[in-house]
Amino acid sequence: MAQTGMKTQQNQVQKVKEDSSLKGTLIFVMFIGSFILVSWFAIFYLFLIRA
Amino acid sequence: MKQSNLALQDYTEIPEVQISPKDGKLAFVHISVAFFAFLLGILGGLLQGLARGGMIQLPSWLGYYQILTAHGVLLALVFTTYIIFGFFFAGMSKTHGAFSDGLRKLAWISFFITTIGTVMAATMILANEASVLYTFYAPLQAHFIYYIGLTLFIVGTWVAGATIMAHYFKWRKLNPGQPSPLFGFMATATIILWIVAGLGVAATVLGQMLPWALGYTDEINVLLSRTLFWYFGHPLVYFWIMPAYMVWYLVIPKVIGGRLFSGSLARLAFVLFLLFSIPVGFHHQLMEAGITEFWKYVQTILTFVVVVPSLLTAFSIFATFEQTGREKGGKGLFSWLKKLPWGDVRFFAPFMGMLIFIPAGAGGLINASFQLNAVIHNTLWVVGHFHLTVGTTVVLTFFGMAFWLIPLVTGRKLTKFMNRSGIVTTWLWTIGMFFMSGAMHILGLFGAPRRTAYTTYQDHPQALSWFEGIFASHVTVALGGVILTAAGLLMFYNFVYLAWFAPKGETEFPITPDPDDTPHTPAILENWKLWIGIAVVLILFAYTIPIYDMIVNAPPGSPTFNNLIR
Ligand code: HEM
Ligand SMILES: [Cu+2]
Repeated sequence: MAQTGMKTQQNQVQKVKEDSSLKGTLIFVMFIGSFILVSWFAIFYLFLIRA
Repeated sequence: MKQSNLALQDYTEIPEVQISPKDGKLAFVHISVAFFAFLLGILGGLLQGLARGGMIQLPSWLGYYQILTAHGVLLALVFTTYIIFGFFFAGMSKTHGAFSDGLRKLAWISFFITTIGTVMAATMILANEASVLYTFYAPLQAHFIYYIGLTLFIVGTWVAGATIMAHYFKWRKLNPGQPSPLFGFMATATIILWIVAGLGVAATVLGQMLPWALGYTDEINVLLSRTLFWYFGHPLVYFWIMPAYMVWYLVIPKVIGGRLFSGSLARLAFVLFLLFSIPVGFHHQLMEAGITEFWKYVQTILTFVVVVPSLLTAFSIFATFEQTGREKGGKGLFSWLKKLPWGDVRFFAPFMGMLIFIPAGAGGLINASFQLNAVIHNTLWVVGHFHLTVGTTVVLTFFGMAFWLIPLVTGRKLTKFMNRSGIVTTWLWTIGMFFMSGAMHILGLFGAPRRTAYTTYQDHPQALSWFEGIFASHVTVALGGVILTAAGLLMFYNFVYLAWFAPKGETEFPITPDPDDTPHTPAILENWKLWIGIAVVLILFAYTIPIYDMIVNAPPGSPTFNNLIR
């Protein structure tokens, strides 16, 4: 059972190559970028009010 | 149910050619030293957390800074280095064929040199003759044996690195014109980085500290020694993270049943790490007098260039997840995530490490920005930061790796029980770190200093508030430390079980099939002479004038401060 499960899985890897979308990845990297900016400016704000 | 176990079945049912048992043994001794150092190191961490929180008082024969030195050295230097070389020896054997007898002998010699160095340094720390913390900043002075131990440690790792590079270049010679296997490419980039960086620390230890500790010189140029240390210290963190990235780029795609998104992108990222992680040490010295703004500025710019390969990595890894999730029939914007093998510790532990790398990386950019550095410098924020980077991202990645690498080299199997134990370990570590590192970050923003034993500063209200916050409190740090220690003990148990007690059998070395773009690998990426040349030019550019200045217009030499923090 496990063996056949593996086989079909490998076939799929071969087959469905073309129409793969990377939309999730786009949103994810946008999220990282925004997270970096927000944290950076939060600490910069601390710097400003303490300076 | 089948879904969650799919990845586990892959490797139990389809054994491939694994690695030569002799190379496996070599890897195994490295991994073993790593985990014994880990065990001692985390016990130190526990004591620190409890002592700083005022919950225990250390016995008179055990100093806070003595433990802190042991903790830093054992975890940040010994654990990381040994497990990395264990991974490298096993991975090179798997991807480039077994080591020749000559090279393997050299590797054993390197192991003994490194280990003798480790034992010398550890003995001096135990004897309280080297409580100078793992950065050994002058003018704190350790016993000269500590410095000799450090030197042997570095030299030993150079020999180990040379062994691996010799194996890699032998492969290239035998396979002219072909893109080299990714594992060897990435290991070589890491080792070149390590060797070039090690020159700095060797220069200060041999040229400055040893003569001074032996009494041949009375005074030391502190500015120069710190600069040489950080010339080494920043690439040191890349020496930790690049092997973790190798697990992400090369192992995880296979574990999730896919393939790496792009090989050229991976090679490019590693070349950029090699080029831009050395000429940047000043970002650790932004608050230091004696270095002009201009050179701090230059090195800060170079620091920020490293954002590029870091984001390339984030993109590559996530794209690999999405591609694989969709190939397995996943749909929607994010629902393909369900197709990933969440129940497989070989994936789950490194994944949690990746997740933690998001706040860790954001924190790094804050640390490297001059004005923001003024807010957090030398506070507990910094300690919170690197317990995320090396203490979680790297550590959890290596935990995940240990679950296949240890049984692989001991001829055993990763059982379902161990897999589950690994998942529990990962959760505990993540939760403990959330409390410990989270509280450290906030305490740091409130001004709590790092590297400071228990004190209330004569009951100063500000200092007292560090014990009274709801979350931002030394008590939270200690609580997180207790959970982390539980996780660490469980991991040590996992190590012992996988090494000596798990059922005998075959375990797969999961390694990604060649990415689709492998035949199109640009030849220039394989041109090591070029990359080493550019790296040297960048280093000379960033360091020559400031170091010249530190020597010619040297600050007054400092006498020894020997017993300051004993
Ligand atoms: C049980 C887990 C751990 C606990 C409870 C713990 C706790 C602590 C505490 C409380 C401190 C510093 C306090 C101070 O600045 O006074 C510290 C420092 C440090 N920790 Fe950990 N830690 C743990 C795991 C790790 C790991 C896994 C690593 C690295 C792989 C690590 C690396 C370091 C380093 C490099 C320092 C700085 C030493 C110095 O300032 O010289 N720790 N740790
Ligand atoms: Cu750095």
